[in-house]
Amino acid sequence: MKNFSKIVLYIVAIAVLSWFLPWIYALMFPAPSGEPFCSFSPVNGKWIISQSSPGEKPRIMILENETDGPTTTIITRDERDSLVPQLFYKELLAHDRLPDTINGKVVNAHELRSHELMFTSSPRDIVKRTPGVWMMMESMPVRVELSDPTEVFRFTKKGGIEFVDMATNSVVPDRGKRFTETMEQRGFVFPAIDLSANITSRKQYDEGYLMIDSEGKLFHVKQRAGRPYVASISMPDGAVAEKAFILEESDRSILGFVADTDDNLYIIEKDGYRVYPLPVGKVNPSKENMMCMGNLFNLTFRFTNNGVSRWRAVERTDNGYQLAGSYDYQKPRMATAKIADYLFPYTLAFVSNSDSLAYPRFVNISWYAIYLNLLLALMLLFVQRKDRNSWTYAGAAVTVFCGIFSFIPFILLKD
Amino acid sequence: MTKAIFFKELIKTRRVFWVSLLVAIIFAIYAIMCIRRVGTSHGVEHIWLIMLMKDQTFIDAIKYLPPVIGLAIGIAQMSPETQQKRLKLTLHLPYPQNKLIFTMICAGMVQCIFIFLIQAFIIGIYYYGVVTPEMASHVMLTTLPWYIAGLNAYLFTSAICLEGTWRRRIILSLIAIGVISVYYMQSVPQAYNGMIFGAVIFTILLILLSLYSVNRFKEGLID
Repeated sequence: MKNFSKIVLYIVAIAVLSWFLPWIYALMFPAPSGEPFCSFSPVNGKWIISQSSPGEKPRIMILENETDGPTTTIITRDERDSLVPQLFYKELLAHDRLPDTINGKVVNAHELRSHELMFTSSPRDIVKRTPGVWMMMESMPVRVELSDPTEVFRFTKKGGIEFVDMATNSVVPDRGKRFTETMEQRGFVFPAIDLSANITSRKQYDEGYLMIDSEGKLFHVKQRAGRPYVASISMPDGAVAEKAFILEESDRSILGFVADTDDNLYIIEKDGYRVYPLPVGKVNPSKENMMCMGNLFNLTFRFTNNGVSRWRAVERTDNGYQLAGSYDYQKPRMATAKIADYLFPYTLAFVSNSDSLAYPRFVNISWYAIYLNLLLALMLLFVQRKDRNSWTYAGAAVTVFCGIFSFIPFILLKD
Repeated sequence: MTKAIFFKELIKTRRVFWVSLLVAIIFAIYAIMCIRRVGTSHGVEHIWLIMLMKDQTFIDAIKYLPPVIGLAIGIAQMSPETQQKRLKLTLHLPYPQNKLIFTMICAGMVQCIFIFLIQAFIIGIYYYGVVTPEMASHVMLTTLPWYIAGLNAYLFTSAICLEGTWRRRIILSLIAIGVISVYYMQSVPQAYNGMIFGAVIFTILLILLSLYSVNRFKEGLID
């Protein structure tokens, strides 16, 4: 029992240090952000990159795609404003520099504003546990302004939907039945595996939910004057929907985005519920941060994962969407991060930027630390050379794998 | 003999137990009053809205109380054993040493669990009346890691108090801080669901730390 207790103590000490030492190291040597911001110019069809790092003067560049690789040309702020009028039109208007047309499109403040779109998604908002009830707004309110929802709904075990009145915490008798019937008529197979809505009264209009049923079919569900509105949305080429995002932006022509089980991203247009594939490469919203900025000329996407940012600009054509430009940015690794690879063989983390869950996970596994691990194991044998016992050898063996995380406990906890 | 030891431990901690229970109930009532205040000022719907859209549970007031209760009961129960040199006498009782320590630890854990259950019951009953059972379970599952942190705090405190050397006490205290802070790393409701079972097993294993401290005490490793 004594030996078992001792083993438990050592394991706990190693586990705590495996989390604490890398954490305190990262706290001491924080990585500066300094990630570039990119926008795709409708004027010259090139990426305009704005980059600023702490202590450095901000740089604005045009990315030139030469035959022997990409190069950059530094430009001024005023030049940038003219090249990216979709973002800086207020500045251009103030100085009377906004052109009347760009690429044959009429340009004015109203046109630019009405096509603005901003969308962000983080895996932290997707990979998390939900209580199993969702709010339903009224899409056709009596008054012009939207009001906060008064009811929530849940999926019943019998295969249906049920509404609960929040004020009384009691089931609303008929509404659930009506929704269940309408949804079943449209081919919805209960329950939903994914739901997306923007529950807030501080938006211009409400489009309810984009729901994916248990068979991977996409539906648009909302409540209009207390009645169900359900529309089935066909995915192209038999794609199976996995994650949907509803937008409700100024540009009402776009209903949302949907990712399929093969990590392809699609855009859903409101008119006729047309779904078009977006030529942006493979996208996994459960692992990648997504951002989309839309404007009169294009949609600019940024997908971020593990220090790599993929920028993609797509333009609407008669038949769908085509890739207008792409730019990949690999965040440079700091010297302190490289040193950490030699210090720590792994990191025990309980939380992550890519989900909202807490559980132990080994990250940043580095074989470069084996040199230090071996050195520490030999040091352990040397320091305890006068009274070596089976614990000393066990400590050295564990230190070969756990390095500094086990070296410290085997030194400090020695009887 | 087991009953006698159990009773002895209850007598030792009776004052701290009742104070802890009272504080736990007061904190639970305070949390409920905060929820009621939100409901009265903004409407009951606002509670639902904040819970569903902002990932709030409205019971952050009780968050750090379980470890404090675990610490208080651990100190009240185990510090007299070493401070007043009672441990030597206790270990001379005609009872197996490991069973004796295990019974003592069980007495403390039962008190902690009882206090936590009462508090969770008060909060749970209120929530089940205000929101749907799914949302009430959502809240209660969020509190679970805090209560496990309370039991961890108690077990570490016991091991630290029963330890005979200051050097080892400091090391155990640092490990305890590290372990307990793990339960407060993620504030999103139900974030710890995936590791609750592991945390319970880990908590049971922590009982061994007190047995190890007593073993060392018996071997004469005392300052």
